[in-house]
Amino acid sequence: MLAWKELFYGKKKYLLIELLITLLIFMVLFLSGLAEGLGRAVVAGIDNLDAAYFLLSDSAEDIITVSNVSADTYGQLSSQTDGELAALDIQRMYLCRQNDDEKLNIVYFAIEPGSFLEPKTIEGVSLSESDAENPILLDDDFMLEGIKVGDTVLDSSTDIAFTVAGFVKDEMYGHVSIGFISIDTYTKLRTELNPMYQQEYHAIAIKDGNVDGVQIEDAQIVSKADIIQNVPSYTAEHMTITMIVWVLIIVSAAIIGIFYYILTLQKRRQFGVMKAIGVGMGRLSGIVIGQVCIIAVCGAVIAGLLTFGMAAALPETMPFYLKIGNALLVMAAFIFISIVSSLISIWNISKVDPITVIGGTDE
Amino acid sequence: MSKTILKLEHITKSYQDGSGKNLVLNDVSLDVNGGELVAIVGPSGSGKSTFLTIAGMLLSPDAGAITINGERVSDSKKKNWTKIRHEHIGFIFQSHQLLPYLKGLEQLTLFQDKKNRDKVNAPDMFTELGIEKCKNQYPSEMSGGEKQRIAIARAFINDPDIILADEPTASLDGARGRQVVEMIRLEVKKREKAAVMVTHDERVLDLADRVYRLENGALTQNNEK
Repeated sequence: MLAWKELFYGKKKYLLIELLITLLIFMVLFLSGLAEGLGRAVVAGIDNLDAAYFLLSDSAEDIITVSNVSADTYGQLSSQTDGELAALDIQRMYLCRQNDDEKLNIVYFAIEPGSFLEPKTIEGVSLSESDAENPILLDDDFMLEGIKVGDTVLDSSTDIAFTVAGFVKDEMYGHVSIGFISIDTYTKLRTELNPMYQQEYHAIAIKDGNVDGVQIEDAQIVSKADIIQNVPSYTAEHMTITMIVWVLIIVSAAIIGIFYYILTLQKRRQFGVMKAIGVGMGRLSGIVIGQVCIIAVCGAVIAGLLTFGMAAALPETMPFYLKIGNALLVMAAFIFISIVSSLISIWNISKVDPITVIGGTDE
Repeated sequence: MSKTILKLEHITKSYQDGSGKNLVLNDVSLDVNGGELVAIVGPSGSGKSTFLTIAGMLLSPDAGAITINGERVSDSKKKNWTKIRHEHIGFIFQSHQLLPYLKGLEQLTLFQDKKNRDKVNAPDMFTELGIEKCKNQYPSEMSGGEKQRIAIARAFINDPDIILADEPTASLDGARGRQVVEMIRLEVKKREKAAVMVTHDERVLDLADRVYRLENGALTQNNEK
């Protein structure tokens, strides 16, 4: 009650502080959105796959792009687990538009059309619905290059022509946009490059089910999380950026603490009077924590709304990705650290000797 | 004759002063009865403030005992002092010391315990002290006399046993200062509190029931009254 009365009375002062806090949290949330977006640009393609585990070759050391499992393994695996299976190949190449030499980076994700690995299209039709010879589903970033559904695009090294069947959203691997093609198309591609090509897969995805009993020579089951961790550079990048975000959270919360400490120093006499008239430390601490909570919670909520509002207005190519859960975690951490840093103020108040109020001069 | 509420016995207090000891209070004793306003005068530095802080459970004496309403509070531990002050003592400070962010009535109600609401009615006190118009004003909108009267009301709000006033007229002119002491006297008589007022304002001494002079660590009663 006292906490709120004081904030209300000092509206101008506290609104300025609130503005500062809001901007700080906004900055933190926005950066963590960008950080997450950047991380997504590396692994979104894998993360979006609707699979719990992958079968990789032993020698791959959990790196999906260097793994290879033979076509026979598919059969072995299906007899050892009850989970639904689907083969996956990943290949980085270049794409060209017709009558244009400019090469566009692309990562092919080769899948069985209609399998659980196939993403939903946001425009056009799926691979299995397309009646083109070599259909491809492109990440929507390619739309910005002027490519449309029905266009023909060429693989730059083989000149195999694909027909754009549709577009999918948010599919990136290693900062490169993905194109989904069928395993058949992929085999044609590889055979064109190497006539001796024997069909093999990079990995076999397992949708769910029990994988405890799987025993296949030279191959092992790896969880999706482990695969993501082992995408080259992902862990290092992600750790650096996560570190920056947390340092910012701690610094901003410490700023609230310091601001509050300065305000407390200015009010030592008021606290002395309250102590003299018999207001206990419990209630005084309550006032401080109450005020810090109000300031921090309001700041977090306003900044949260601002961030999600901003995110909605951002252009597609901006790598911004923020889950509500992550945002809430950042806000909660912020509020918690603010409260902890307000303990310095409480400690300072506990040192105020009410005796100073008696016989002191009027100021 | 009303019973003794505040009893100070053989209070001694000295401060370390350079290499020597400065004996501020030397075996001082004082009894104050309910409904009685006692004034203490003395030159500055004579220990008036020290005397008040000891009586107000803000400072412990080197020797001596303090009894409030039969309870020997000087024996209690320091961590209980806040509670003792809250329950037994009402303070009126030199300057009003109101919180700038509370309106007149809130200065009282936000510090009043629920159980005391029936005994002391905050709006009634505003009427008694003639400051009804200040109920919804912030201290910055009030005159010095009005603020000090609210401070008086605040001292009484939790129905304490004793009232301690530290130079209550210091920040006011003669006429207003006198009014403020009249108010203190009115409430002390009406509510049967034991009040001690430290002052150097000779013009208000006639309002006190007894006047003491504190000098060289000793308390002596003025005979002139």
